[in-house]
Amino acid sequence: MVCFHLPKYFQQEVYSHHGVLWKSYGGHKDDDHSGTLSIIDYKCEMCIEWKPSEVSVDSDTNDQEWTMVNTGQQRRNSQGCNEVSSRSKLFVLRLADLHSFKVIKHGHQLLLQSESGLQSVFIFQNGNADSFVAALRGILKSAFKKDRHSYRVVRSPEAKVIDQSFAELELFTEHKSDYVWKFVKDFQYRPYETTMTAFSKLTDAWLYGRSSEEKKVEDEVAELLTQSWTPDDQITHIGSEEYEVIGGIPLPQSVPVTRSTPLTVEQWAQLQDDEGRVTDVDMLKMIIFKGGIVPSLRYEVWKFLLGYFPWDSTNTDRQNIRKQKTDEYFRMKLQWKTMSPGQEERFSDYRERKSLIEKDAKRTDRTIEFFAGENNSNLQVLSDILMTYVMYNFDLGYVQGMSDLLSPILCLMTNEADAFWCFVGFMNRVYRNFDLDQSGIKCQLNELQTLLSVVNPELTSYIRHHDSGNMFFCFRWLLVLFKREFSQADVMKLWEVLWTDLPCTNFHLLICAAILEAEKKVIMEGNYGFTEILKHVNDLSMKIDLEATLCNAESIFLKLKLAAQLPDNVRKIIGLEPHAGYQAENLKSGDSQVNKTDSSLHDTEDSEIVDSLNAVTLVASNEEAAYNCSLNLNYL
Amino acid sequence: MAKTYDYLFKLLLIGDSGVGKTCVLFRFSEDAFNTTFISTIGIDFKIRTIELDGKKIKLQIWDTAGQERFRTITTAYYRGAMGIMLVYDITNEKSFENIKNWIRNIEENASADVEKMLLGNKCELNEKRQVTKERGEQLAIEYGIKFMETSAKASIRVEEAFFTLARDIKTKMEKKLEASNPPKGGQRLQPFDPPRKPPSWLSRCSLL
Repeated sequence: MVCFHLPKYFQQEVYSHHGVLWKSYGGHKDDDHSGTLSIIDYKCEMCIEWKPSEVSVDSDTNDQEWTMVNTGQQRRNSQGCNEVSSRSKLFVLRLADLHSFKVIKHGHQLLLQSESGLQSVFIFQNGNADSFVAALRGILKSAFKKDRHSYRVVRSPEAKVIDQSFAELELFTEHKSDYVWKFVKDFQYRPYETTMTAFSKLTDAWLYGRSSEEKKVEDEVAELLTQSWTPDDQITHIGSEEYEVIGGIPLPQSVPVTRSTPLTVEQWAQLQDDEGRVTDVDMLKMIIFKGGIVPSLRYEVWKFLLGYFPWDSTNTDRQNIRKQKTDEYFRMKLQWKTMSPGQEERFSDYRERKSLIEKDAKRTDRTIEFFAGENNSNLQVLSDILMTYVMYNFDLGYVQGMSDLLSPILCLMTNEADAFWCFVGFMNRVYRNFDLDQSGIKCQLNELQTLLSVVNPELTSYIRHHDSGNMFFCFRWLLVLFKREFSQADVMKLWEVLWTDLPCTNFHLLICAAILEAEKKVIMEGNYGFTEILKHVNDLSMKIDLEATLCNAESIFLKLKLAAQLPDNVRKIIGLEPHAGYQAENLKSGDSQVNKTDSSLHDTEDSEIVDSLNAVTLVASNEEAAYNCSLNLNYL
Repeated sequence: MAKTYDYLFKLLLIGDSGVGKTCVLFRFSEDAFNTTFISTIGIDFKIRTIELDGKKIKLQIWDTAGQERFRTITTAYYRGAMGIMLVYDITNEKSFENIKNWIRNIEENASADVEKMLLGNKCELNEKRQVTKERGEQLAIEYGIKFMETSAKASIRVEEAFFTLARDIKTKMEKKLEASNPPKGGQRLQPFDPPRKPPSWLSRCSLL
């Protein structure tokens, strides 16, 4: 794919209209520039553009350029609008991304809505917006659906999915999302705010403040929203005085996601250099995220995923690390092993931890062969590792649930010291689950509710109105990361997927959302109340299809990622960059992540991984692209 | 659909980790015992419908995680409970000493007139006993509540314990009903005063 700045002779102006004012939502009053609204044919696609008349737009200067990607016939940018320069205020909307348009105020105003839900208003000072619409209708080959005074561009759902796939591909190679978001921020949120205000009392908090000057535009948008785009059933009455707006944020259509095969011994060998360094960590993580690891290889790869071995360590390095860490382990073990009864007697905090471990070790996974039977020595090892962890991190000590987290690791490693250090790596990720005041879990439950309210507003509203808004029924899922919900084999796969930190921060919350979404029908049609919801969720244990859940969770992530109006608080939870202008605040509260997940996903380097991952995912959803996918992976 | 019960009682099992709360509940609801039990994470409940004086009583029995760390979550479930089983392990002195802490938890979080009962579990392990029966009885007298030694494993007095608690709740409820609301043949019951804290989801469960 080639990125190039389009020379003028490649473009053809199909239609243009001078003296048009663009009402930009985010800006001040003086942002209503007069300019030219045009439809431009770029051969591979057409765009609606607006340029201010007082600023000369020179496509050769860096900050005023806009970039196109030539991928042959198919290319789309999911965000609906390509940003360009904040200084020139150039507006660009590809016709392919136009959702609907409407002429209001007796031909004085044209309202455009992109597929991603962004709206823009253009003011035609002579009241001749109809002429522009006529040109637009003539050019657009797609079918229209006329709804009162608005036109909706009709496209087949299949085309949309492909569009999104290619949009993701483009993001992967171009990293243009920064520009897009900078541009998009000016358009966000306000239309909804006005609508909601009209309904008087609102409970959702996606909205931002605004100045009174902007109100007029918003009212117009609100009018449109209420007339043609807001289905009546999205507004629910609560009591007689309060209204709640459900279904606040438009999400793109579901993107089909497929899973892949697990990391093989051959792939693993090929991903290492002669001395045993892992050469392509990103690719490795991506393969693991998409398919897990073949069981025989887990023993080796988990040590990397859990930070016991650095990715760039050589075979020799690892031998040394292992030797040193084994010594360190047994030194710590000796500390508690040599404690005299008298010492113990005077050390109640220690005694308390020891007693909890003794109780829990003997009731951990006893149905699994590794721990089954009377006097099973593996139970002693399990207990010893937990005791040593108490010495390693006495303040955290032992909390119920930790034995669940250790069990699969020990089954796999069998070696006591190896299992201990892998467990330490796991605990480093999830230690906040065991906070004394449970604040880590509470924070995650909150975040889950926030995510779910975007992913499935209807279900969230139902849950809230059935006394379950605190999401306590997901407590067990979060505390031991689904250990009690899946078989041992499935848990191992799920955990290694989570340890890749792909495709986003807090992916486990999206897994929760995916499971809940799959149960929506049962919960809502069964009219489940607080107790039934809890019981139902508890009883899902061992009945959840892991592969389907992972696909759904990833699909949810892609939807959120593509959603143009996703509020920053939601973006933050899943580690997406906030919209421009929000960085400062984000930095301040950047440590609110519960699990010690990779916050560096904000970095360009890591977003490349995410994007490349998405590319593989999305491409795999259609045949032609499946071929491309195999090309991408073949070098392994 | 016709109701299959006359009353619904919500009960709660609390006590230190490992005293056998889940096993007591499993014995009562399934009449079984399993040596491969796992620790309870979060909260769950089981249902069993019993008959008392010709009335069908549906018992919804909530089982909680015992570890101190989880109290902030589990105490949320105290409200709305009509009966609470305080369980300790007769082979574990500490679990007995902690009963006073659990009582304090009830006072802080549960409805004021919740029925309570003290259970000394694992009484089949007499050779490992650390808490005498007399101490259990004495503590129960102190708090003015009933006491029993039980064994989930050997199925000793578990059934009796739950029936006793259920009967006490029923008696208290009917007494209140008579006092405040002469029976008119309706089944809508308000067995308790509202909880001291603002009404929650659990308080609704006391309505039939």
